Amino acid sequence: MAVPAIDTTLAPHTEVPAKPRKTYLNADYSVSSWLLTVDHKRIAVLYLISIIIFFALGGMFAAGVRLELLTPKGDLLQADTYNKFFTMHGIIMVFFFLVPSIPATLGNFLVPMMIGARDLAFPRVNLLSWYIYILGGAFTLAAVIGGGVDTGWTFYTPYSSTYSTSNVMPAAIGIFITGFSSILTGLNFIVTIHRMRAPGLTWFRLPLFIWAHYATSLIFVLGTPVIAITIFLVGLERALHIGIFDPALGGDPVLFQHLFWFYSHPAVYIMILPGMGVVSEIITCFARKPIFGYSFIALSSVAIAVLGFIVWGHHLFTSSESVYAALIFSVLSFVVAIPSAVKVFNWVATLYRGAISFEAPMLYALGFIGLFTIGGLTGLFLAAVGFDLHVHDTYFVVAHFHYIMVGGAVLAFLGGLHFWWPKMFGRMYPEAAAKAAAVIVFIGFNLTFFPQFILGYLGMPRRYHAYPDEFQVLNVLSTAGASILAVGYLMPFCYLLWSLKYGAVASSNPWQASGLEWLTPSPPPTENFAETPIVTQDPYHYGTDDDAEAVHVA
Amino acid sequence: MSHEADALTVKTCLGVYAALVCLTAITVGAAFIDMSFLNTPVALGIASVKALLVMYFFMELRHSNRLTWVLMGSSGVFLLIMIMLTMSDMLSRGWLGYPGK
Amino acid sequence: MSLEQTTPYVAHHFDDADQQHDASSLGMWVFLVNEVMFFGGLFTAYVVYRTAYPEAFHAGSHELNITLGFFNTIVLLTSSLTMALSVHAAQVSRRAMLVINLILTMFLGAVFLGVKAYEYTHKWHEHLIPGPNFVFDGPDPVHAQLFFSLYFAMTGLHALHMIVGEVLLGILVLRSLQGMFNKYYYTPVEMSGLYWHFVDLVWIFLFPLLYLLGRH
Repeated sequence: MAVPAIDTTLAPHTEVPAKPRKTYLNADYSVSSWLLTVDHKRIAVLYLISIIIFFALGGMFAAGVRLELLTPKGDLLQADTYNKFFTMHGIIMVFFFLVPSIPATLGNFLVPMMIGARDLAFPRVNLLSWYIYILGGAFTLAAVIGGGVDTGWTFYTPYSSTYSTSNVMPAAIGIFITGFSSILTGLNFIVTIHRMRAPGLTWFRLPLFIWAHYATSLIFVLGTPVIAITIFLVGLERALHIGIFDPALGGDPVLFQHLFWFYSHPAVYIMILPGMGVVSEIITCFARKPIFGYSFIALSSVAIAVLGFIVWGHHLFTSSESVYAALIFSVLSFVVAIPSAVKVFNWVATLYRGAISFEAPMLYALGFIGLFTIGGLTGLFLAAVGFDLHVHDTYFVVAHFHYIMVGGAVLAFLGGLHFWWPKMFGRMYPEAAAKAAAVIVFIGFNLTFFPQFILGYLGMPRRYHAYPDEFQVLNVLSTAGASILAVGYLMPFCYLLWSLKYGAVASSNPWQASGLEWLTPSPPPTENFAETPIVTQDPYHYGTDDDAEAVHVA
Repeated sequence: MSHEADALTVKTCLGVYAALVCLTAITVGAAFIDMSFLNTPVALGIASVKALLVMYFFMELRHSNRLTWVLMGSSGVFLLIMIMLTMSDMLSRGWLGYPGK
Repeated sequence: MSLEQTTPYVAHHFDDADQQHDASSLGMWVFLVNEVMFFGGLFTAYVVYRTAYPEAFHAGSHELNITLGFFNTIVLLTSSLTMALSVHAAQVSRRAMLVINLILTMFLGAVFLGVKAYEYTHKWHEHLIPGPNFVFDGPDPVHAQLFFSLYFAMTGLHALHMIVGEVLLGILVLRSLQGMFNKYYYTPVEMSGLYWHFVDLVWIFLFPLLYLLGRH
């Protein structure tokens, strides 16, 4: 159905293509064609495999933590081992799963396609970025195998720089190296989005997924170098016994915290913004309505990225930060919630009077809206200094960030993976199993983390492997939820793999979605587009005269 | 791609270089003069002028598009944010007279 | 590659040479933004500690050789000049001038690094390397060690960037000798120039902040 100058009206339901056809997957089967590829789609798949491995590893550490917390006494793991478990869980999940997850997989795959380009601006830099990620991962794995790190993923000094005897150096080196992977990905996205858009694709015709990744890339480039240099200084201090962060040698441990959180707070926006982009795409498609408030959602992504850089001090409220600085950071932390709320309102307005259908991606997106709202609102609780003083370093904080990172980012990742799975691999996943898995994930997640809000409020501190007896019931509920959540994660792993061979063959646009990526065959050929598309319309014309059919999916 | 009309001329290069060397000599000289609290702003001010000369002429910001200017500007802004907000904590400690506040 | 290549090789994913050049240029500037924040962390630490311990920092700065620092600053500024002249030479297709200026830039960079190596060795002899062997007989030795930690971290990171720059320049010299650059295509020269000038920019700020404190 090739048309010379393709405009962005929804592609009609195409016939299943006759096999065989050259796609990016079967273009070459050799190992070197994968390991030396410069095709952004193959690099996305390489990343997908890698982050799933790290997710499983991080999940195993979480399992250890939750198993230990079944009983009030510290009886499964010794205290030092427990410290290592939650540290490794945090490091692996934050740096090796969440930060790269959507940008490096879905972003790498879709950014060029959504703007009508043949590849990212710097394809070899993209491949280098993956190798750097793997190298960083190797160092971190060495830290794990060497006995783990017990400093907490936040590496607070002077424990991490002087007193810890665990494998801080390899982990620090690993994180330092992996940071450059993010920086290069961000650089690639920024240049691609600025310079390689198809003719007619103005900024305000871009899909919101692109806006979200653009904002995320700004954070990658501006924030990641700061944690790189901070970790570098910690490593230097550990190796040479100088005193940059060690008070015994004249240094200031709070300076470490300032530098660390200058990146790590924007990092949480790195983790959530791409997910918000995914949700925007899914909501509008499965409500069959153009997104409400497009420019507000687009600009709110950039606002979140910018504002996210000036709130880091809210992590230091109990670290002897001055009252005046705490005041400034508290106010700014309230302000940064506003663009996120704008998004939630716009998504809900998009749903209003939409023709909503509940395919698996939509279930994940709807779950995201609810769970992210709870996570975000509890963030506002924590932004209030008076409240934070009581719940800092308790399970309230743990629940807050897991609502956003799991209830938000992971659900968005799963939703996006399902939504674009037919495009990426040419196969439909089994819808009934997917719906069931989404519900199981939602139930398991809430059972795991909602009790933790209560636990934290009642005063159970985080990072302790033993706790007072009266907290046991809630902890048992949480661990039970975690096992249900694990089932919910395993299911997509199994059926998505199954679908690669046995799933229904997908057409180029099974969801009747709008977007340039849906104009290509599923899976796309290596060069993406036979001819560069020309864009003449705004995105998201669902439910308008151009929306020929409401979505019907197998 | 030829940009001969915009090309960096030898004359410009040498002129900027002469200015940079002069400013360096001035900044060294100024360091030996006691201007109390003004020494640091003067030194940083001279350094900023030198930096602007390098960026505007040698790095050809003169001919660059607005996006490049925005990028450089934003990196400066975020660096300043990092320094100033951190210092806002460091400087305001002890204002209330309570320990640790 | 022929000497008078009038159409540079355009990678498959770009529409034309202009888009390729614009992408490269934007990419390098974005990278420099990242570098600003990378050094910025050290500058932040510097501002915090200097504000807290001015006396220690002044005393530490006195131990640095201002003549060598001044000399090195001039050397680096001159290398920026020769780098800019190389870009100019490429812009007007003057290969000999291009190669000569690139080699001069490399030479001046090497002189800079040589002087830094000398300064570091000198510090080692004076027991001013932070760590267990640090000895300082001025005021506030505990916090003077902070000054020297930052001195070595900042100038060390800067020197590392210069070494990378030297490698880039070496590659450029080889490519120039092969006739790869002319007024139609000199993007790598231009991009390396941006990188080299950035490294110079960092030093422009490092010099007064480290060498010129409390000299009055």
